Amino acid sequence: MSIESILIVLLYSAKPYLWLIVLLAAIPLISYMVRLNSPLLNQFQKIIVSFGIAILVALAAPYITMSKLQYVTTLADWGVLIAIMLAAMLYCWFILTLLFAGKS
Amino acid sequence: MKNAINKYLSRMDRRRFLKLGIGASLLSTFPFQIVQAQKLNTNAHILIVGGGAAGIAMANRFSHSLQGAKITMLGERQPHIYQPGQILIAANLWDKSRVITQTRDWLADDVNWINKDVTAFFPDNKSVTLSDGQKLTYDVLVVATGCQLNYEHIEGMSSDLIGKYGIGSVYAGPDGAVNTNKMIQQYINKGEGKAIFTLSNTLIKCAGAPLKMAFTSLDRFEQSGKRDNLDVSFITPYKNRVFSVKYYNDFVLNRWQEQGLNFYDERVLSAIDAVNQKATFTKPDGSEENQEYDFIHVVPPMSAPDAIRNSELVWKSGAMAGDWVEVDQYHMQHLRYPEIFAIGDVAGTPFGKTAASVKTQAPVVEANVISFLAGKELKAEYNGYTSCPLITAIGKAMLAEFGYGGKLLPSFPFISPKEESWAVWVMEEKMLQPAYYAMLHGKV
Repeated sequence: MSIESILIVLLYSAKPYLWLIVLLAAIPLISYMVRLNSPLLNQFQKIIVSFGIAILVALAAPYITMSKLQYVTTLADWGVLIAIMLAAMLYCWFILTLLFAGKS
Repeated sequence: MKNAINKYLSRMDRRRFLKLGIGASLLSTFPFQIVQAQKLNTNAHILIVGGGAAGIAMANRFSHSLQGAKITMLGERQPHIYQPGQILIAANLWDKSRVITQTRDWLADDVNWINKDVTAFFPDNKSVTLSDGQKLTYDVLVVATGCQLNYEHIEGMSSDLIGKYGIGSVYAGPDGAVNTNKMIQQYINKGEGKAIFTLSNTLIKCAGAPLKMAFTSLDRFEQSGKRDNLDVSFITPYKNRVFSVKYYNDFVLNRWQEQGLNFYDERVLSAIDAVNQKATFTKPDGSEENQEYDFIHVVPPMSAPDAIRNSELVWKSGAMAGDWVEVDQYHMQHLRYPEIFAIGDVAGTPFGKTAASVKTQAPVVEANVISFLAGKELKAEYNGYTSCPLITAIGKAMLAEFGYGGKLLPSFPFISPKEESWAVWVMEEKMLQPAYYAMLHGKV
């Protein structure tokens, strides 16, 4: 399958989830708007929290897709799951960083 | 321009030619392969018979690539059904509304859709007759009718029985799939008795569907906790075979053995006594065997639609004699009527009765119709590609992709065609339908 075809299919696949994409894009904006002055989490703690959430997302991913964790067996499966985990971790860290950026 | 190119080519020396050849070879291995037919100005009338996946995909492709052509698509059915989703409905995973859209919504504005079926073909006169008596002529005919389900070829069976007396059949449209799920659930609730999964002795569309029905049902039986009380069998007309590609056939038979499924071969489902829930199977020696059941999954014998079977379009000899459109398996062009092409289930090719096959055939037919109209040699070739995300349990699948000769043709280097995978399941459940819709739009 060509790269062009894969991209087209990805775009078609994303279409039913446009609302989710908009929501995921809006959350950082909202986080930035309500940014807190509280020093509740330092950089290390943000990474730990993000990592924890990423693990939960990765564990939930097979069940969200009507599957089971024990069916994650091939290299491709683990690659997808790790990619989901990394994306979730980065996203959470980004949100937390914005949320605790403090108002200047 | 053409003369200039010819002049340049004639002056090109051997070394330069070889350099260009190497460059072209490197480009051909580059991942950005854009399969796009050239555009053509023509006033030809392109008649597409059939308004399913293949018909819509071809109409939209021609709408992009043939400028000035009159494109007519024929087909009576108003709703468009995403048929691969019927398995997921029958497995109690999808609602039927997820597979139903409207045909009109998929068609480009310049496609003239006449919602009538063809009742007769007159290839010598380049014309067809419609169900309302109207006669249409064409310059190019693309046959994309799909196939006909012949439930009545099984004595005592009709599509009306699906959803009653323990009879299910995933092929009978979204309602058939809903009713199949109902029958499976009823069998699970009963918690005992015999379930039989069958296979037809004709060519069938989506040949993996009967196997997927067995696998998803077995999974549901196991999840119900009642598996030990359920006697489950698969009965095939073929000798030790349920799938055309050896690797997958062996895999499936081994797995079923592990799952405690009883396997019977060389038996054709020939009759059903619905009220008494008895099925009759005929063996190669003509003897009959009766089996009682609590649930049976019926795979109907399939053929080209009667209008095609009664026409000159069908194969005249060979294994497909009297059935399926007689096309060259590579160019998809009729062997006796060069202005006729076939695509999808109705095409008389050894493989190619899946939506994934249509995806591969569509650009081939498009390119070859354009070449035909331009008076050029037909160069695009279909390699027999077909694909079946073989669901082996709810939540995992194996991406079987192969072509003529059973040669494995994996699309993705990172996905093994021989391993069960969660990622493939996600593709089946989440991405196959978008890919299919992109195909309808003529974009992949």
